[in-house]
Amino acid sequence: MTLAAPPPAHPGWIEPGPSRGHSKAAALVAEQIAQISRHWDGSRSLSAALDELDQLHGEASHDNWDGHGGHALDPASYEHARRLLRALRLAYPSPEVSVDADGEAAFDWVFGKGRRLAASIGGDGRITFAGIDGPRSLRGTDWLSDAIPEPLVFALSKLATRRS
Amino acid sequence: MALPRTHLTNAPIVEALVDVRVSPRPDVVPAEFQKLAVQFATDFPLRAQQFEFQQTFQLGVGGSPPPPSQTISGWMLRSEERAAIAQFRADGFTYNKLAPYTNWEEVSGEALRLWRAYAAEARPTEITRLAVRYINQLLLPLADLKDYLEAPPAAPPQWPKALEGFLFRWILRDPARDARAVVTQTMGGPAGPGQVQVILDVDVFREGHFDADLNVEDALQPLGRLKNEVFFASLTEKAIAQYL
Repeated sequence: MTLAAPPPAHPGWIEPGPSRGHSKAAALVAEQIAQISRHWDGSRSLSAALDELDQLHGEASHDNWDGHGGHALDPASYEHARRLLRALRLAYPSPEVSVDADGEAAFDWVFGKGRRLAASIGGDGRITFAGIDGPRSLRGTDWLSDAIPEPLVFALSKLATRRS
Repeated sequence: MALPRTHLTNAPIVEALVDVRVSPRPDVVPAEFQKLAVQFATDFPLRAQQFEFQQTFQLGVGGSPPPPSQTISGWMLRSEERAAIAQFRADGFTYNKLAPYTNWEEVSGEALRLWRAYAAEARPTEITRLAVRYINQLLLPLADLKDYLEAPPAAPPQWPKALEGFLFRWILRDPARDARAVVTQTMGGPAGPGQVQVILDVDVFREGHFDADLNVEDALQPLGRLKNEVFFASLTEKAIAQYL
């Protein structure tokens, strides 16, 4: 079998999640995929950002959690951010994780001098990102569905593969 | 690969499903899908509400946490013999046909009948995903998997010989149909001596922002063809011979 070169938009190793099956076979497939994801959860190198997000989930559970009037981390934003991190973790470097003042989970990747990307994840699954790639700027908005949004993957791929 | 056929008399399909995901209109109330439960009560007499639970926790605050909130997320309807399931949710609709499988025309036809009723009631703002997923369960001789599977599990000869499980997952893009196929091949439950159950799960779908009045019937046909192509390309003629 000859595989075509993957497009720049890599959909992630675990995502997309399967369509909603009801048979025993569907449950078995879902459980085996979940087992692999849990297996990777045990790796600190692959799960550092997830751990960081979970820690923030505890700390930012109420308004003014940071002493500067910041909103509590939106539970739906937290769930979306978790899914996104799980999908990204084998293909891209871990981001720094934080909570924006409006309660949205936020990621920040620094790839080198003049190459960085910041993304925030809304409770409705909307992902807004902006970055710089040397003299060029990157920005976009898309929705987290069953795959990592292609514009985000495109931006990450571009930044991660360019040599300093 | 096996020669493509339009139908297998004893197809190894344990579940076929059609899944449509949508962006709900802001004021949709999933509890109102009860109307659909009433409308389809003859074919789907068994019905159950689906719920979402939400629990709020606060660190550093005394006292008991507030009780979990529970909201209706949709309705699940089952046929009398439980071989057909219709799920109506705010975020979409799924029709599952469990064994015994009939044929694509019946499955897609029934899915479309239910979808049309759902779309009229839910009035979503757009369609975000269309999927056709077929899960097959094959009983194969463990020692000769390569004679039946085009992509059998391969292991270096120095590895221990007793294979107790495997999981392969391919995520493939079909640019011509603007679709993706997620193909999962894994070991299923227990089988007889020297035999193994292999699950071949073919999930093909399109994602995007499609008009709510998209012709779903037309959109499903290429997905049905893609799922067939993947299935017959996954198996050898010797494997297919068991299901003719």
